[in-house]
Amino acid sequence: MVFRLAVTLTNKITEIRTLFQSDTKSVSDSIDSINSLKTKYLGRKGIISGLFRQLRDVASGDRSITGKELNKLKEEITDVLQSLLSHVSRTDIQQPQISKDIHLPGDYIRVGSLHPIEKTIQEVKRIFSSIGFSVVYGPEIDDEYHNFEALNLPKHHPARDMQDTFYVSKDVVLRTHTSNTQIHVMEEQEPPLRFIIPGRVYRNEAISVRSYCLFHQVEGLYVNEHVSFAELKGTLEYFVRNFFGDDVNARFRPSFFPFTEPSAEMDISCIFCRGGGCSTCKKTGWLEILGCGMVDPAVFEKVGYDPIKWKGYAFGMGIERLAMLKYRIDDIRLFFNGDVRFLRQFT
Amino acid sequence: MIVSIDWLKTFVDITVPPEELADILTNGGHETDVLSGRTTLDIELTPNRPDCTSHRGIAREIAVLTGGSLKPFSVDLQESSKELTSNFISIEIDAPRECPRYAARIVRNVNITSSPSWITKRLEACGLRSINNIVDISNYVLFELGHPLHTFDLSLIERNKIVVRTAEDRENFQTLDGEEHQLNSNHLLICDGIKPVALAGIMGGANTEVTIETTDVLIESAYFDPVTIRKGAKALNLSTEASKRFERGADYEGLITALDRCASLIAEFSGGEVLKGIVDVYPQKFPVNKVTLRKREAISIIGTDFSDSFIEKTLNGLDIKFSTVNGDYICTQPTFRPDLEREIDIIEELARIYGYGEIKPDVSYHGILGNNLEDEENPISQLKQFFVSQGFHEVVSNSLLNESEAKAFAIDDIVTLQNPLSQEMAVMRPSLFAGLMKTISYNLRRGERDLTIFEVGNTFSKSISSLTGTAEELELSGIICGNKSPKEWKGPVYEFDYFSMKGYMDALVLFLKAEGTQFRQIKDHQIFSSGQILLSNDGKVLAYFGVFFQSLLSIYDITTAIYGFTVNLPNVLYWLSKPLLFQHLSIYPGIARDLSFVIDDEISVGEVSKIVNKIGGQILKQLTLYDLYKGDQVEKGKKSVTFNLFFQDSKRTLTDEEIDVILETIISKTSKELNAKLR
Repeated sequence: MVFRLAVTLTNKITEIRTLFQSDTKSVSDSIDSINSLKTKYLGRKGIISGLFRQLRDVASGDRSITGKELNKLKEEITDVLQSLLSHVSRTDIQQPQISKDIHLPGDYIRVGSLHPIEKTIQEVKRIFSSIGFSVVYGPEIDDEYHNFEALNLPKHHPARDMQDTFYVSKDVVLRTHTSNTQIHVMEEQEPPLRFIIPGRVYRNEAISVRSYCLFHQVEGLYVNEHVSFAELKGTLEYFVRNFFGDDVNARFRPSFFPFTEPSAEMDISCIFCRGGGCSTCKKTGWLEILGCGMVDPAVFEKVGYDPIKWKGYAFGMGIERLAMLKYRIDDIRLFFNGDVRFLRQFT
Repeated sequence: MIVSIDWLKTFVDITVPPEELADILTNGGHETDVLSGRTTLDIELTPNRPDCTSHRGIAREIAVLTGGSLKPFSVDLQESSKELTSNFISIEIDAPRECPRYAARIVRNVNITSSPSWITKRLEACGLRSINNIVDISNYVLFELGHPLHTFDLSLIERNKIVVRTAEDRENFQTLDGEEHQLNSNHLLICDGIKPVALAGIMGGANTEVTIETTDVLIESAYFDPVTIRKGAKALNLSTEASKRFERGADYEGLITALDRCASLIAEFSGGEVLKGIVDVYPQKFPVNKVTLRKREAISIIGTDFSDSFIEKTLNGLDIKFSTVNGDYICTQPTFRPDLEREIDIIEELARIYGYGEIKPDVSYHGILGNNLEDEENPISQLKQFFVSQGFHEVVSNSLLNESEAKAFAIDDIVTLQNPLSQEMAVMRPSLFAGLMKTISYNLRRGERDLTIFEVGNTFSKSISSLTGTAEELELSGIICGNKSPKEWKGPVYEFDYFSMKGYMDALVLFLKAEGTQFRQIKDHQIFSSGQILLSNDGKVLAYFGVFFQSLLSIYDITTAIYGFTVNLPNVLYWLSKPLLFQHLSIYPGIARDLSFVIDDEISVGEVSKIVNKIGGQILKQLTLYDLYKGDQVEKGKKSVTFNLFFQDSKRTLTDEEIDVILETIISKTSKELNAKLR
């Protein structure tokens, strides 16, 4: 009895195959007729499902072979039906009416934008992260000690004139650079260290096309046992090429900052005139973009690092300056007044 | 500082054109521009180089940077008078810390005339007006050698005496520009036997000025403490050629050369005779500073191989005397270079003269350091990206604002600046809404009415517990106003309203995956007339939003309704940094049902959905209110609410029968507790 069931089912499979072949011959070139064929064979209550239900009654020894045959039939039918569906004539299907006017606009979708300062900070972070720099942040309001004294900028030193400062109280200031955070981190952590500090800084300067009372800075610090000026050059040249492109050159020239010794200023070849001399680079062919140098041993002494053992380099750059050069923005105030005609350009 | 190329040539051979000279100086650390006419240079000096405030100093730089040599300089002074200087003047220093050295010479029987034209021309090239031969010569020596000198009319110095003392508090003194100054104990005064005659290191007095009647001249050449001069000049808001040099550190040894040079030129061009000897009070000689320069250290820090011959040539070129001991250079700090105190300072000189451009970049980046610090703002970038993807523009606004404006957002604890740029920027922002509203107002005035903007930044308040007396909090706030979209051909325009704002907050909760977040009404808010607060499942504030008081908007001339929100970043960061775990998808089909109730108008939708959710339990995957109706079809004082319920189980197929049981329980419970009637 059981044996006979398997034979019966095998015969049934052959029968159905033949039936399906004749059905496909007579089917018309329409979605509906193919779909009704699909329901007849593959539907939940269709022929194939019926055969699978019968398979449950077949003895376990034969079930696997018969099951395989049945699956094969199902695949054959599925293939044929899919091929019929994909070749069916497309005009037959009821389509929604679409206007032929290609100039009708699509639905309005609001598109937002990151601020160019943020875009620039993210870019700077990305580049320095790729060579092992962490990212840290610090307070905008700080004491004079962290903003000046610890950075080898004592009270009554002419170098303080380099940074006009806003005071909140007698010895609390709006930070003039994010270097205050270098001190905070070094006070809390032991070297080696390598990080950048993005953030907002303030200078007591009248607002104009070229200067604003606040701007954003990214400073970097690397402290280790052997650190050289040559490495500082290598790092910053890597940054410049990544940020401005391979065809931009960097030049380093000596400068003075109380917190670095030796100190340098880095210029890039003018991206406007390609070094030929224009009004932006004041005919010099170079644009000043950042200050840097080897950490002055006096700074290490302030934070309790042994300046004989530890060396380091530091650098600082203005984000607005970078963004103005990169996006060719000619008025720094545009960053801060929130004109959406400006912001929309950075979507 | 402006220098004359002609004048420089008296100290060093210059064969290159001015532009090239400017490049050489710029690459040597002195940013230089060629001025029109190409006979003068404008050099931006760094505050550490007082030696470069003179033609001789700049010439030394040019010589060492070009490998040339500085021409020798000496003063050939004829003390033609038989009289001794010390018979005519005595010097007493009462403030030796503030004035470590004071030297003077006297030139008698001078003729006050105009200066020879080569002197006036050189001074004019440097931007100085010619006055008379005596004043011009002291200025000439200042620009030549960099040491400030002062000349007095000797006949007006009473009792033949110079006394250097600190000023009394509120002591008055009139400088030679006619200005009356009130002094304090930070100021140093040069006095004669009776009265003050000069504000030391800053400006001379009107009472002893050299005039057309002067016949005998007293020349002062002194060294004043830099901090004293700096404080004094700052207190009077006065910066002079003299004070600039003294506050950077003058040359306490070189001052004698300057004095002799000045006396010699005065004698030569005024017909006067120089008295014998210098009265020089220098009670405590400055010690000689020896600095050991290790070649290996220099090579290690700069990362380039300096040769011995380069080092020696550079030290010589900079007038640094040295001897070698075991391969180290024992250097004597030149008295005109206060910046060369330590080994690192001399290493900088080596690198500077070698040329930064010649140092080969090293790109060995040194791999991973042990303590990589996590970027705490990374999650904030994600949040910014979320708002950008919702169509918001990020803005960055001024964190300084008007005090009365700030008070609209925070009644007290506002952080005030002591020295603001203007009243418009006198305090630190207590809220980001001030800047955002300004932005809205700015754009409305320009016809931009449909706005969705946000800002991330610090807000500030006073705080007794912090060291600086202030606290900073990082916030994210935003505003929406106008229409969701401009007029479209397809259909009506929808205005942003309160529920648009809430929709963004719902989306924020989804983005944060902050399950169990609840909305509560805000009561008595300072800036929102009506609003809601989002509480996380542990009761922390995630965000709040609302519609602003119209009175607040009128500060910014905004007449249209605008809606604002603030996200509490510290509390939201918890959800952003929570590890994301995948939830299995159910393979069993779900069942959807609708329920429509009529309830009293006072009963909130929340009360109904609370019961539905409770009874629905785990398998109620979604509950959506999709109709709210008040009007003719329902009784007065009632409303109809319609929900769609979607049930699904992750382990089995649900049956219609069991869902029916749940719905019946919901209906009877809402009827009993809320008097809700099935519609």
